[in-house]
Amino acid sequence: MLKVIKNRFEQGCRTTSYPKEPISLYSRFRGRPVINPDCDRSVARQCAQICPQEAIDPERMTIDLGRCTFCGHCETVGAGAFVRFSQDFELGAANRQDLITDGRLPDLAVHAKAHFKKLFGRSLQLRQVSAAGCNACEADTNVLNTPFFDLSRFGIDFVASPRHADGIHVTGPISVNMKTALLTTYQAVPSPKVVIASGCCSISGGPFYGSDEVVGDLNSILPVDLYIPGCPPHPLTTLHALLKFFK
Amino acid sequence: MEKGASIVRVIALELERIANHVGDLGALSGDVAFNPPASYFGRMRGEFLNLLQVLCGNRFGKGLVRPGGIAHVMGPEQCQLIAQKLIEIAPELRNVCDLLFSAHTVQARFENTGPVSLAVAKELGLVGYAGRACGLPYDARTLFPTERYADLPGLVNGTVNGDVNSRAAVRREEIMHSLSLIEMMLGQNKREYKAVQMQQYQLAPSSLAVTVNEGWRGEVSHCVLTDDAGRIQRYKIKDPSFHNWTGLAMSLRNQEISDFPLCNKSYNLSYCGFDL
Repeated sequence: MLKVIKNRFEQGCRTTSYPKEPISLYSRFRGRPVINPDCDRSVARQCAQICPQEAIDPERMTIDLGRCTFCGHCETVGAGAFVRFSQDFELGAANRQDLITDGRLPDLAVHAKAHFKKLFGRSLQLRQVSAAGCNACEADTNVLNTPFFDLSRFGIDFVASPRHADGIHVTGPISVNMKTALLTTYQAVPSPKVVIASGCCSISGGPFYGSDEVVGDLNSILPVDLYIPGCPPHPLTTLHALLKFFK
Repeated sequence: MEKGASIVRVIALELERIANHVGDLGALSGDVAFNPPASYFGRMRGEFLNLLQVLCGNRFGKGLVRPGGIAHVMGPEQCQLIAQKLIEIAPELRNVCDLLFSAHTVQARFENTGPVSLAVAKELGLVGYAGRACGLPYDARTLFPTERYADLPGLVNGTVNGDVNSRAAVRREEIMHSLSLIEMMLGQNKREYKAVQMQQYQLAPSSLAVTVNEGWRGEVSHCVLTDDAGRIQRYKIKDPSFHNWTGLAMSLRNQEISDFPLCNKSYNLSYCGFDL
């Protein structure tokens, strides 16, 4: 018992005051990319060519955050002449098109559906479906339950059955073998329900895009309400998106 | 590969090992309903993932390792940040481990639960902490050393009864061992090496290559087969879960149903790793 008390004192309170106070991530973290509009077109083409995700459109000078794995390879061309990754982790979007960007993202709160805020603003229960995810998205969503993030203080929880849930949170590129299980899980959630696509795999297929073994785009089989980009999304990216969209 | 790059690779691998072992100790603690260490370990796991983010910008080390080197050079700033955090967190880790392992309620649930004998472990070829907890000393870091491991001290485990307690104790020992390895590697940090980005490589035609590394869960083996034009014909990854799944089945023999979660967590196997 004395050891419990001693450790409690040593550990102290570690919960972040985000979103009340801003939080800054280390300079090497790759968050929202910012494109230099004055960049030479040939440099942009070079970036597009080396992008393993085909996320860059050099003609329209955009990058698709739904495809991007934030590997940072394009940033090494000309020391960031075309694109630089900022430390801004607030990347959630309500529309797929919004993710194809020159670095600016619309305010998520404005795009959130008003009836969702009314229905789920005080209590949101989600069922997680890992549809062939690599466990990075799953693990970095799971950590929202640790004391630092303490997700349940916002009335948001992950539950063990779709019957208890208000929506599904999908990770992974949706392998063909997981498609039926995913659709069955969706059907088992009582209406009205929300669908969240987490990580570039569920948004576009991620590194597996184009494979016959994956569905890739979650929106092609279910109506997606909220997109959370990243590989995986930083826990704060997920936290920000959930709070902005539902609170 | 340059020495500086392999030093960073060792640091990254050991950070990942610590993060996962710390997370597992927290989960084991939660499975026996001893909540304080579960919370503390859960939070501290994140600290180690954040150190990976300091190294390469991603909490899972994605984007760090490239064929022939690493994409992010560890400068004095990153070195300093990691060293500082380790100094701060090592005593906390020691204290929370002590809290977990000295609680008699935890001991009562961990000890003699899900035992596997050394003979069975040998026959099944258990790997990683699951094997070492049964007294099988196999560690790819010492048997097939890559990177800087040939110059680094190995670890001899003290608690090797093959039960849940041993699998937890081995993790604790490995956390402390990994902390000392990182400390040693930070002391040897080199600055005169370059970041390596993705490049076009021509693979050797009609060749077979096998690699063995000690991931946090145990031996990870990759095997690549090329055709006569040097294209990849087959690529097979073998996860430690493939070796250890039957170990879990043997652990569960004649055990109470209520001990299933505890035994399961003491192995923490990957379903997709098994299915690969």
